[in-house]
Amino acid sequence: MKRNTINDNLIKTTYIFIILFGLLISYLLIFVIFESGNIIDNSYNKRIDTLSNYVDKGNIYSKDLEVLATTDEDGNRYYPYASLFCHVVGSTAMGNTGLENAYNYEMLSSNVNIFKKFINELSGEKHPGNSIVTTLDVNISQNCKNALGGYKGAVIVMDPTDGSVLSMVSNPDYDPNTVARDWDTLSSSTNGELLNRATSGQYTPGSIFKIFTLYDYITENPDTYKNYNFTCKGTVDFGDYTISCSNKIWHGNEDLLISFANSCNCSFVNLSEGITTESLSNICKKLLFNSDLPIEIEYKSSVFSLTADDSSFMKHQTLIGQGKTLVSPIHMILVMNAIANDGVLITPRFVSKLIDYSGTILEEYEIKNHAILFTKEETDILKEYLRQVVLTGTASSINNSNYTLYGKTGTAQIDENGNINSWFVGFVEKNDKIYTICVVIENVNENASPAKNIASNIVNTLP
Amino acid sequence: MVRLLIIISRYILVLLSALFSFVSFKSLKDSNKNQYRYVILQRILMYLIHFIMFAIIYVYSEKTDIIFFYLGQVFYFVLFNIVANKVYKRYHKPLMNLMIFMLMVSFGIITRLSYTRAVRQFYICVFATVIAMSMPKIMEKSKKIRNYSYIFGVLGIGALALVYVIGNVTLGAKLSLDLHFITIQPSEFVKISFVLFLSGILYKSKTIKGVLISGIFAAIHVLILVVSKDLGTALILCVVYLFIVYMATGKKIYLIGGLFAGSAASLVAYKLFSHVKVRVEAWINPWPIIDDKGYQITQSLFAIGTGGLFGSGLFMGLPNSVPVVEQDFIISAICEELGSFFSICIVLMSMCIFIISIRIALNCKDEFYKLTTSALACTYGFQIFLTVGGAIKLIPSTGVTYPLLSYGGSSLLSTIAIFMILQGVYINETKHN
Repeated sequence: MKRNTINDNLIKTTYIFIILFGLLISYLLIFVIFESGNIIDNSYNKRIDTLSNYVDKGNIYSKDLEVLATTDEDGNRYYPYASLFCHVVGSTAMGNTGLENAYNYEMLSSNVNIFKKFINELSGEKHPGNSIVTTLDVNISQNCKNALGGYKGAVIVMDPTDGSVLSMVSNPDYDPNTVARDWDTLSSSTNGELLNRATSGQYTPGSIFKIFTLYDYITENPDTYKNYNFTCKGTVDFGDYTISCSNKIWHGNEDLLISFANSCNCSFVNLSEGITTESLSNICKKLLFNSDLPIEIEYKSSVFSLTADDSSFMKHQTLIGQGKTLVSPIHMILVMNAIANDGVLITPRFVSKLIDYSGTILEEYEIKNHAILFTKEETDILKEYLRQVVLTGTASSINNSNYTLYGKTGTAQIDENGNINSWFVGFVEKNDKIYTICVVIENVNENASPAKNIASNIVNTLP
Repeated sequence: MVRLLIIISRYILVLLSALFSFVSFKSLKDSNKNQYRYVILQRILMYLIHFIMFAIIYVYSEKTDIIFFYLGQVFYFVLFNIVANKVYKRYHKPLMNLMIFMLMVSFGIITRLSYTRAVRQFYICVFATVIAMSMPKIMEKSKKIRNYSYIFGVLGIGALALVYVIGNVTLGAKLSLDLHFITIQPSEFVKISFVLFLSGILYKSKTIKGVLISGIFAAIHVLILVVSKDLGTALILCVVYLFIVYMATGKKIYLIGGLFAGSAASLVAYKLFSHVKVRVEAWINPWPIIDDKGYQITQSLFAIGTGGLFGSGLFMGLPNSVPVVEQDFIISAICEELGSFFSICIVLMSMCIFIISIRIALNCKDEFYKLTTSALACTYGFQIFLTVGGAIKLIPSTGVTYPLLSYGGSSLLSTIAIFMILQGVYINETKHN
């Protein structure tokens, strides 16, 4: 009797272990079949690059199927537009960057049929890789590049209705065809040629932050913001510090709409009483500060930094975009996208389709909503304010009857010597289309604020 | 052309290993009458797999050394079988074949990873089998092993304490003793002495007294291992203790209570020890710490994921990019180059080994050996759960090796010893019948 009970226990133990073995096998299968596809496309996975021994990496096409990157007969990557797309398309010679990195696995996979693969193996030929069709527009990109001229900075143009990135340029740039040869100079350069300023640049926002201050004030004072009134005398004295308007201009008597249009620092600091740090902090969090952004290429998040413990000086500075807050251009244009699209932020996309070597579509990437950032009523109000900037405010010099432009200018002081970052963010309704645009020019003299003129040049050439 | 050969070979290897597992399971089911057929089939399949692996290694590397190394192995395996036949007429042949198959795959994959290490592993294997061969004889002659339980218990604790005091630190854990000409990992052998100790106590006294005495010894073992940071072995000993107590007494409360106590202890260890925390963090979400603490597990997942179901083929992957791939992550290397299907066959064969061991225990009339055999089976089975589960991120990585597959002399020696103990129990039992 005793022996039998021990054997019974052994059999029960065996069942437990068989379950453990089964767990291992099923988890491994589930991982390999369903999950591994999402994780292996990672720049830390060096295995992907060994695929290039057997596959010619596929092409990167513009929106209109012009070749932006291809593999030449020697197996090297060739970029017909040289530096024009160097940041967004990226390069491969010294580590993959940009879309070359984000879609590395897709372009190193080949959908040629098994028969052809067999022939290729026998003859020692490489398989042609799959290609991606981007949303980038060559003409718009060239116009952006021309408008940017010799300035350091970045320009992004997007379609807020489907999230397409039409253009993304960053200055200074480099030639991806010769990046390996130029590597020593590039990697030791202090100009940041390799940096994609449009996504990874972090800038003091200056007056474009007033969009967030405004939005918070309206949210916190929904019944009274229309009655707001202030008389600007060029400077406000707070005892141990003063806040002044640009060039100490007296804006005189203004309501909230005109304060925003004039980008009046004195008036915006005056809003402080109606703004709690907690509410502003929550609003910035909701509008994707300090958060991951749905961007496929390398980027940096914007940083909002103000707590209830900070001094009133810091709070005043933050309200006019001069505090510790730092923003990236891609984040700013995403906020514009949401305002231009009735509050809905469409997930930004660089790539619309994956095709095989013969042009057959393998996958169409769908348009997805990322988040709802504003209500329709809120965007209507914000649009009125952004329009007023162009009608009578700081951007009135670039108003044009050929289109309806909305936007906000910014001039962010970055040192004591009068050097500034110049901003323009906004959107335009032109020929029944909507485009959003973000321009940032870094480190220029205070007297020049070139961003709005660059934006105007670009908007004039948009189709 | 070579690449084409390698790519085709993946499918053949998967097919052959699937057949091998099928035959091994079939041999479990059928009566003794047909047993010899399955044994022959197993041998044909395993020598074929061994041949294909080394043929590819030779074609790819074009080193003539490989041919001699391969022939040396074949000679050794054949000789091993002949000697075993002479010395022990009725040993468990399917189990022996499974052991040799595991060794063959191990030599193949380690040769691909590092030829010099494979040769070293082979020498240790020859040495180990010569010693282990005598195991069943010793067990037959010496009936007193069961009376030495306290000696085993004290020996185990002493060996572990010695490592803690003067041991070498490898990868943050104190594991090995450096004897100048060779380094040994006593914890590998303590797994056996621990089982002999437990079965010696528990077959005599299944009352609360026996459970308590063995529990105190087990706790000391585990505590020393935890402070030496050898978490994998600590966990194995805990689980083996719980199962052997359950098997001896049949009281589920020990198993369930033990699992709860174990979970509580793990929580305490997580709060107390930073090295436990690191492993758990890397398990929960390794991606933000991919540069650092998450590097090993993410590289393992890349290896398994990129290899896919059929693998990349030998030499077509980058298994060496996984840190300590020859030891704790050998299964990742097999998944990457030979495919997940092949690895699943390997796990199935381990399950088969586990079931055969339990069967031997079931048929064994001597209660001491019944407990020893089943506890050794649990040791083996749970170690596989830990090593494979850690590599595929089912559980946090505990840094244990895959018995017989992983590189490492002590692990190889102790595992072969375990297999020979199983054979010894089987041989003695069939003699009595």
